[in-house]
Amino acid sequence: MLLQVAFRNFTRNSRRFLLLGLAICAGYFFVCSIQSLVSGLSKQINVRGARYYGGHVIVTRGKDAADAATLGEQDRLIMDAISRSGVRPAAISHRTHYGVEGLVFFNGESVPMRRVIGMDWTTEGRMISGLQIISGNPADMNDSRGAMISEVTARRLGARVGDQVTLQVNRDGGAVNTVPVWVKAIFREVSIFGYYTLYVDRSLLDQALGFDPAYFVTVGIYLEDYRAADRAAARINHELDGKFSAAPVVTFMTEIRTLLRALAAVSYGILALLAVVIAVGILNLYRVIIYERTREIGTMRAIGIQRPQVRNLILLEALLLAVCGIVGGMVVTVLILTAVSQIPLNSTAGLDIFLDKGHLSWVMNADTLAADALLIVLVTLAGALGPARAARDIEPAVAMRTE
Amino acid sequence: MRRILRARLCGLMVLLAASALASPLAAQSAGGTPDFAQMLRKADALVTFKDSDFSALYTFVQESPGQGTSTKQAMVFRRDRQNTYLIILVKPEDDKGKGYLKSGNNLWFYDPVARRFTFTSAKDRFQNMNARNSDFTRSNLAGDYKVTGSARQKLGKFDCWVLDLQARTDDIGFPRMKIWISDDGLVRGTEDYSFSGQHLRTTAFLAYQQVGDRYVPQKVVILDELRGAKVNGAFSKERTTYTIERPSLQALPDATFTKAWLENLGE
Repeated sequence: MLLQVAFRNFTRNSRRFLLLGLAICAGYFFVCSIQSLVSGLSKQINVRGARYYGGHVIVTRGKDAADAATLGEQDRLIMDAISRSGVRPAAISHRTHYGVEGLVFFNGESVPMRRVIGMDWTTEGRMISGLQIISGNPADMNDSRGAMISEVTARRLGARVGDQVTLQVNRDGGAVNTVPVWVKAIFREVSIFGYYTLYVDRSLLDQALGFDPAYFVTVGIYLEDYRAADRAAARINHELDGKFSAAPVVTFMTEIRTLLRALAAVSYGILALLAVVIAVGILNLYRVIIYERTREIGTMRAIGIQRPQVRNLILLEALLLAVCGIVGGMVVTVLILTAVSQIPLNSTAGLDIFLDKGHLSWVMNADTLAADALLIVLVTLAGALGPARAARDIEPAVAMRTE
Repeated sequence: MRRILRARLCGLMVLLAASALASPLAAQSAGGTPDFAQMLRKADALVTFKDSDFSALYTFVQESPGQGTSTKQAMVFRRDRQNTYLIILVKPEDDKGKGYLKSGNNLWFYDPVARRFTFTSAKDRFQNMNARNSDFTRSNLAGDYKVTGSARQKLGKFDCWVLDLQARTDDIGFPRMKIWISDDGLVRGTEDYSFSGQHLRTTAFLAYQQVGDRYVPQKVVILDELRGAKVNGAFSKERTTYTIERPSLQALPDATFTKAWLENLGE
């Protein structure tokens, strides 16, 4: 019944509450948007990083050459550690990466590669399927002589799907080696994670580099939820017991990780500021409201509503105000972010790394938003508590005499 | 003059290409199969200055089809007995002061603008040309390669042995080579191949000059077999031509082969 009364009072006094309600709505929208965008950026970084490095958690075996028996033993050790850690991988990758000395030649043109990625398409192809393929069929990468090149590389070389290009690498000792590969697909990835990247079969790359075909540099663990990477890496490291090192993929992107942390800190700062604004606003507003409703409160007390009920009534009204502001803020957030994410941003320099196929990415994490909402509710209630207590202490006789 | 040189080069390239198809020519000398290892050692010795320093002015002309021509000049200082060299660019103005210092297995590139030395590799292209940093090192064919095949061929006016070479270790930049050595012991042409046998580069030593009792190439042309462009319907390969002038065997101060000297020169 108290809730009914509070709701009625709330709707009847909506004009009083409108401004502060809008302030809560705007503040929550602001915080929601920033956090959703930061989460979206983080997701894109993790998705791209996982594709680039071969997983959300990377176990580094190292680059030293080894024979098949040693490689097999090391692989078993790593797999056992993953199994004992209790981490459930969505997929596991074995990768060989070759750095900036890779060159691709076609028709007289040459393009230096930022990274040549040797991967096993059969085990990892599904995880790479998020690449924006603009030509060809990535399923054809089952051909061990296949290659996937970026759109930028293809344009510079003048190469198309089906063309044979020459990959030049330096063998482990430094001798130049070349291997012909056939373009199976061309992908669009304009960030540093794909601009000059070439995907080839791992065994092919291993042999070109002079290693055993089973050679690998890293074992990557893909997770269903990238946010669990830190915990997963810690558990795997515990099982590896110092023999190898497992790290979340963002470790390999320290500048980006720092940027994301800074953005998250900004959003928390804004949230804290919002909390202060709301608390002060609620406090002042309710002081005025209580003053203006003194006779009403006196009447309620006169008809038998007890002191705690008066206090709770005020607090319920404040709660309704907070909830309406939060819901309004969330609706506005969804509408605006949905609209903004429709805008193609391909040509905007520097944003590439954060975009999902050319569009802004945003993710609403329920736990984060719930925590923000809870904070706003608590702050609102805290702000209203003082005036609610003051209303509780109003004497009916005194209240009835008030003009 | 330019047409004559182009004609000679084309002729050389045709001969080098034809050698891949032609059957071996006349039989070996009457004395039987020569000692090819000794042949390589002699080829090395003829162009190595073990007893003196060497310096010369190198002029590089880079022709990139469809992109034009660029010219650079550099002073090269060599001390073969210590396997060290120093190169400093003197032209064009934009590159003036840039340099390379090789000492043993270490090779540094110096940028006078940033005043910084950067570790680089002998296998890298020299100034983005078809020459490599390793081309300035003393010749060590006998030490780096073993002979896996041979044939007699005529290259222009020279009777040559064509040797198939395979690198002894995996750290040699070009693991396979084909080399034409004329009867006087000088290298007249080379073809560089990758480990898998891809033809990467062709080098023609068009002329030599005698310096003391040794020889220095006077004009060298390097063709990149993978880089080029279609010009007027025909595919033209990237080419670097370098000439060596003013060779000198004058002794150089030890300080010449130091970073400090390169820095001072750069300033």
